[in-house]
Amino acid sequence: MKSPSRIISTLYRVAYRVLSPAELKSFERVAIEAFADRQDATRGFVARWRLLVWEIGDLLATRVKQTQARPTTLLRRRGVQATTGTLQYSLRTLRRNPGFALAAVVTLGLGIGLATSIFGVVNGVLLNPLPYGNESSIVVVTNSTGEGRLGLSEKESIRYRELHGTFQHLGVYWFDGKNIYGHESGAARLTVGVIDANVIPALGVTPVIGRNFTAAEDYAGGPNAVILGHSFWVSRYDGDLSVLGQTVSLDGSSYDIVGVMPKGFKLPLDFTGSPVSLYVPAAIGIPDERNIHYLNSVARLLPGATVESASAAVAETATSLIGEYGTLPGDFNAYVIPVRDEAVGSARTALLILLTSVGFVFLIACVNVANLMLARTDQRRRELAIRQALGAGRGSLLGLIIGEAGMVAVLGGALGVLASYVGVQALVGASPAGIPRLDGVGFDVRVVLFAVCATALAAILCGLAPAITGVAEAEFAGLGDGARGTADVGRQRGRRALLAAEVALAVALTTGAGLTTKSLLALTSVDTGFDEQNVLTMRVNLTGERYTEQRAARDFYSRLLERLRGYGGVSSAGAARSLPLASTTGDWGIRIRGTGPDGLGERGPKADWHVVTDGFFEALGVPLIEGRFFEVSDRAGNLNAVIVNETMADRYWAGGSALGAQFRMTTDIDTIWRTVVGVVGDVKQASLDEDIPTAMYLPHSQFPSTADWSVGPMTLVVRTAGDPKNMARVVAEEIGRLDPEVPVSSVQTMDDVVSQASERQRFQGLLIGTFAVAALVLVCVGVYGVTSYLISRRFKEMGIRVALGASPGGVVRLLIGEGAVVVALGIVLGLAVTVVLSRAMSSFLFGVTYFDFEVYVSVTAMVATTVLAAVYLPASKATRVDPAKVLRDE
Amino acid sequence: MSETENRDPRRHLPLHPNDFEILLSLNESEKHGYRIIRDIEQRTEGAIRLGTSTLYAAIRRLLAAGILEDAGDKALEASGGPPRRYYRISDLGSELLRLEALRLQEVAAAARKRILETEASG
Repeated sequence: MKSPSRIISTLYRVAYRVLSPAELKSFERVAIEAFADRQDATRGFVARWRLLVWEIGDLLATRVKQTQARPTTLLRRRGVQATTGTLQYSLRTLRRNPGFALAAVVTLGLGIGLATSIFGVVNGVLLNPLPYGNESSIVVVTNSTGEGRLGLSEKESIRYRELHGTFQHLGVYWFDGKNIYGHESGAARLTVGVIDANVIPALGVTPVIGRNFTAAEDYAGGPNAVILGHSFWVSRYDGDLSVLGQTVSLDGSSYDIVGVMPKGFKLPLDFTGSPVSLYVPAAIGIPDERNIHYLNSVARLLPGATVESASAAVAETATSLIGEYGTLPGDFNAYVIPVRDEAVGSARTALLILLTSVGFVFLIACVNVANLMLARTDQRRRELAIRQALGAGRGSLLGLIIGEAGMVAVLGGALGVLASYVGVQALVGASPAGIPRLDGVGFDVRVVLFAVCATALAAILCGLAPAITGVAEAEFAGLGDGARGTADVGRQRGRRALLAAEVALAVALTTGAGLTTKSLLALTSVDTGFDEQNVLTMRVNLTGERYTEQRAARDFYSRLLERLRGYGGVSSAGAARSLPLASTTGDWGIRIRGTGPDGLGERGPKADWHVVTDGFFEALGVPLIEGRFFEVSDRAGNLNAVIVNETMADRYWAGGSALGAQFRMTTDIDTIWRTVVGVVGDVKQASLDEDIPTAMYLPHSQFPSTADWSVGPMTLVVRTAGDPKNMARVVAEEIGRLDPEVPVSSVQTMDDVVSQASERQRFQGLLIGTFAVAALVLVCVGVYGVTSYLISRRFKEMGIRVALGASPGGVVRLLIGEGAVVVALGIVLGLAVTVVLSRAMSSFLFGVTYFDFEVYVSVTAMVATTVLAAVYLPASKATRVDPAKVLRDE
Repeated sequence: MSETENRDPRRHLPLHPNDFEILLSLNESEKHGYRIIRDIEQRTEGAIRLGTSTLYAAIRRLLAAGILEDAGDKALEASGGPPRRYYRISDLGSELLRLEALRLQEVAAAARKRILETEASG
């Protein structure tokens, strides 16, 4: 964490770089040193920040002077002189009113800074181009059913690829993990992109060295080839150009390096999560008859084809496939989306919600400063009138007021840019995993341009109202005091309208924050279905030739678990193919004995399939509803057991017990009849907010051995007596003793796994919450300032009221009553805006609807109380007015 | 412009108040940026408070005119922190300062005379 003085010095350095005139660039180092010395000699937090603002003002003034001093043509000099004259005057008046200047500049700096920071992230994630060639013609083909998106099967991908006049290339890919050997630090686990030879041309890229996979390499049984990712090439091979032709050992097999991908290249779904280190060919060969939907796709449209025409073409094919295959559900469909939508995913809506929220804070900041400027214009009424009397035209009066607003906005914008420079880095640093493309977020021309536009908008928003009333004032002043009343009424009405608008914005933002918070609370208090305390988890990457047989994997785990259970600190231990809230799984169709026809396909009953060892449920703390857990005796040769979750038991054996029921899978991987031996509680698997699907657990010790299939990689789940982290080393050592070539990864406690599952929502909640607090503070400061000012203008009226016998309480009630009307108007307006806008948030809310009565009522009460407190403070001052003194002064 | 003309201190008169204060400060001893700012602020009791960039804009001008000289980087005497860039007054600068002080004296004397005369006649 940087100390405030270092932050201030950094801000000055950035300001000097941006603002100093060309002639003074060579003095940068000495000027920054002098500033640091000066700051060291300045005592007090506020004084140091004031020094920074003052010095930035000095930088601007120096710049203006240097520009004037430069030789220019006569014509240009006149224009420049008029403008710089106004600016210099504005700077002088601001320096004469440091309190006003500081308040206005800091408020706008906060608004512009927050908005620019969030825009910086939006720019990097949503707007920057993807690392592909001619991105606009790249699309993703996806299937869908009533339940949502569905991947492509091998046969379908071929049918779509062959569509006439639609795709130039259509490639498929998925992700896998592979163990790499021969590394200095022993075996390591890498994420691998498995791509067919069409992916690279579809994305419009070429390897920086070497080539794409050949047709031979991309066919089942072809030669082993690998293309390296750029950062892997740099980190492991030091960017060596002679790497082509060398070999890499992956899962015990040797692969020839044939190419290196360009820097920054990623597959469309690789912008989140652990990055792909290298690419191997998909080598699909003869398409799989089972029609499993596991492929992601990427395609390049032929010239003339559009997203709409391609969507229509694949949808037509999908409809014809339903009839042809006979295994697809009736609502099977297909469509095409631009590749950017795939890469960015749901982050788009989340970021747009944040941008809207921060936009509200920005508007509130502008309204606040506009109100401050209105009050100042009021004080300058006499000066403006004199200027007009001396012959100043409307234009120059407007120029004076807008010049001041412009100067405040420019200083605020400069402060905002500096703040967002820090803010963007902070946001990226604090962002949870799962937001795509964060590595590309930075401070580029577009972000600066946004800040400039925000500054210009702020200047207009802050300067317009004061400029109009200021000029009207000057004209009224000429008519004598009698006209003042009318102008006063108009002005006060204007100010109250601005206040109501501020309250409305604050209500909208605070309600958004309230909904997010309530949703977050619901999410974090959701029942996961297990006990995450004191549980250590660790991924054991058991792959390679020695473990292609299920028997070898089975022996490894049973020996490992037996050893682990021997430790005093371990109360139970097991393993699962997919750990809840850390990985997902697919579903298999099932046929329940005694019902319907037997057949392969996706219609009929189905359940998510899990493979677990004995001891898994005990270690994770999943409750047993009925029957028993798996035991060591559930091995080959004994009763083929299966455990189902409560949802599955209720759905398929409603009204009776699932125990003893028998079913088999419709896939050919597991074809035996299994008997339900237990029913366990529902467990959240994919996410905290998912609807629990039907799920079945197959014992690892009875998982069938097929030639090319085994469940090798599993996640260990170890329940410990003490701090689970203390056991991590012991467990890793035991694995090493059994097989030193098995890499472990993802060592974490179950507590961490659960908290990561809500990390993104927490982060979003934190940001919106921060914006809401900032908005509320700004609104209170604004309301307090304006009310104080309005009341001070009415001291005479209050004096008369008190002189005529009004009680102090009555005066306060009157003033608060007037404030309450404004607040009520703002709240009604704010609620209306919220109802419209929060609909967009629906997809991010969990356990709460966008129209949540409780949230709306509590937010309204909170905003009303806070704002009325800001009215009460100055109102109570008005009662201490001495009527005699006020009347005498007038 | 001939060399003699360029070296004639009178062509720089009258001096800008900031420049005068900077020369006055450096006439005692060579100093680095912040020392100059602090010295002026203390001596004028806060009446003249130079911004850092105002100071360096002036130093740049005075260096270019040969009125100041760059005395190089030197370690800070007291704190022993990182070195600072020091500046010193040139012979031309010393002469200029003397002339400006004389000029101010004359201006002040003339002004006082005018004021006294006005008061006497009034």
